[in-house]
Order: sequence, then structure tokens, then C-alpha cells
Amino acid sequence: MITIPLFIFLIIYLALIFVCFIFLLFNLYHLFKFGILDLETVFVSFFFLAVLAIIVFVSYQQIVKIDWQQPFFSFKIPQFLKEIELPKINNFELLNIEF
Amino acid sequence: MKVKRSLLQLDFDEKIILFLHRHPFVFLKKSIGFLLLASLPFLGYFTFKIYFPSFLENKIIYPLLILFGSLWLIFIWISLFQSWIDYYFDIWVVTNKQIIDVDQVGLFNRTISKQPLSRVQDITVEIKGLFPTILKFGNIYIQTAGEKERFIFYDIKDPYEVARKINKLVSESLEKK
Repeated sequence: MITIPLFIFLIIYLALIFVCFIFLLFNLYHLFKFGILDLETVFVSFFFLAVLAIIVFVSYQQIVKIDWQQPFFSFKIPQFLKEIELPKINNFELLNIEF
Repeated sequence: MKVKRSLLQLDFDEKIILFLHRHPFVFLKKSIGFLLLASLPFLGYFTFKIYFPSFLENKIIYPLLILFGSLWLIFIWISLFQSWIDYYFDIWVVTNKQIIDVDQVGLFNRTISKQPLSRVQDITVEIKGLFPTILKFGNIYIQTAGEKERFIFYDIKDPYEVARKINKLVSESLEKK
């Protein structure tokens, strides 16, 4: 039985969140490098980050409630595939081949 | 607003007379679009709750909806931030010597164009549409004799007043010559 667990999607999600985070870091770097450091910039940046933190926190609250170990997809290997015997070759035999 | 003078490469005796942004309504309009997009997961949630409640009880579909909704909101929110940076960094500066156009396109593309006031040939104001007429904002087209022939100040508040000030500065710079 081959089982694909649900947490595969969690890994994909985290990878995409990481990309978004890098994008955000570039935005912040850009904002402060350009040198516009007035009250509006600081306030807007703080507001954006605060709302982002709330979204992440609420998402986390929902995500931890889910059992990610449960299978998303199960595939039962057919009996005839199990019965096929593959040829056994070991390294010792390969080394002793005479030409 | 504090902008690094070195970034605009101003002379020591150069004074900033006008520092212009687009009208806040332009960003507000974009924000409404983003907020409508952000509301889609909630709309989806209530639609599922009313019409397909079994979907939300499904142990596979529900977690996937949570992940998608969360990712969608985060992406929209960061895009809105990016949009604000674009809006805020699109600036036009008029000093006592020149006009400067700082154009921000995306994250890594910024162009800074300059033209001495003495090269300004013609200034045209355009107010087009319902909201620009009500809120008094519009475009200012500045024709110059330089390499970049036309400077466009987009969605500027009180464009007639700004054009009048630029005209005055141009006249003063020509008198000094």
C-alpha cells in the first residue's frame, strides 16, 4: 500500500509562504533603502505587518487543529505486481564476470 | 517627506519647491480591487457553508481550503503592500533648477529623469473623468527640449495650481539666464 499523506500540501504551503516572505523582505528593504522614512511610511509598514501577523496567526490556529498525518491518497499495489520476482544481482557476481 | 537628497542628486544650493505624488484616490481605487479579491475566500467559505456543508466536514477538502484561503490572503495582502510602495515611490520633484521624475515600476525597476527648468517649452493640464473632476486631480504634460521630450505628472492634486507654480519657476529661471 502506497500512501500519500496530507502533510505534502502543508510542505507546499510552507514553501509558498517562504516565497511570499522573501517578496515581503525585498519590499521592506526597498522601502528603507530608498530613504523615505517619514511617519506615513513607518505607520503604513507597521499596519501592513500587523495585519499580516494577524492573518498568519489565524492561519496557524486553524492549521494546528488539522491532523496532517491522515492519508490524502492511498494506492494499493495489485497482487500480481507483488508476485513478480526481479532478478537478483549482487556486486560480488558482477565482479566475477569472465570475458 | 524625507528623501535622500543624494538619491535625487541635488546640488547643495538646490531647493525642493514641489514634491508630488499621485492623488490618494488612485491608491484607494486599487485597494478596493485588492480587498474585493481578499474577500473571495470568505465568500467561498459562506457559499460552501450554505450550499455544500458536507465539503467543510470533509477531512481532506477542508484542510486544503484552509491552506488555499490562507495563502490567497497572504499573497493579496503582500501585493497590496507592493502596490502601495509603487504608488508612494512614484514621485515628481520640482526644484528651483529642474524637474525630476522618479518612476517606480515593480520592485527592481526605477528610472529617474531630469530636465532643467530652462528647457521647459509648454505645460498642459488634463482633468478627465468624473472622479478627477470632483476630487480635482489630473495629469500635467510638460513638453521639454531635452532627450526625454515629455514629462507626465500623473494624477496630481490641484494640477492647475501646480502648473501655475511650475510656469512661474520656469519664468524665473529664464530671467536668471
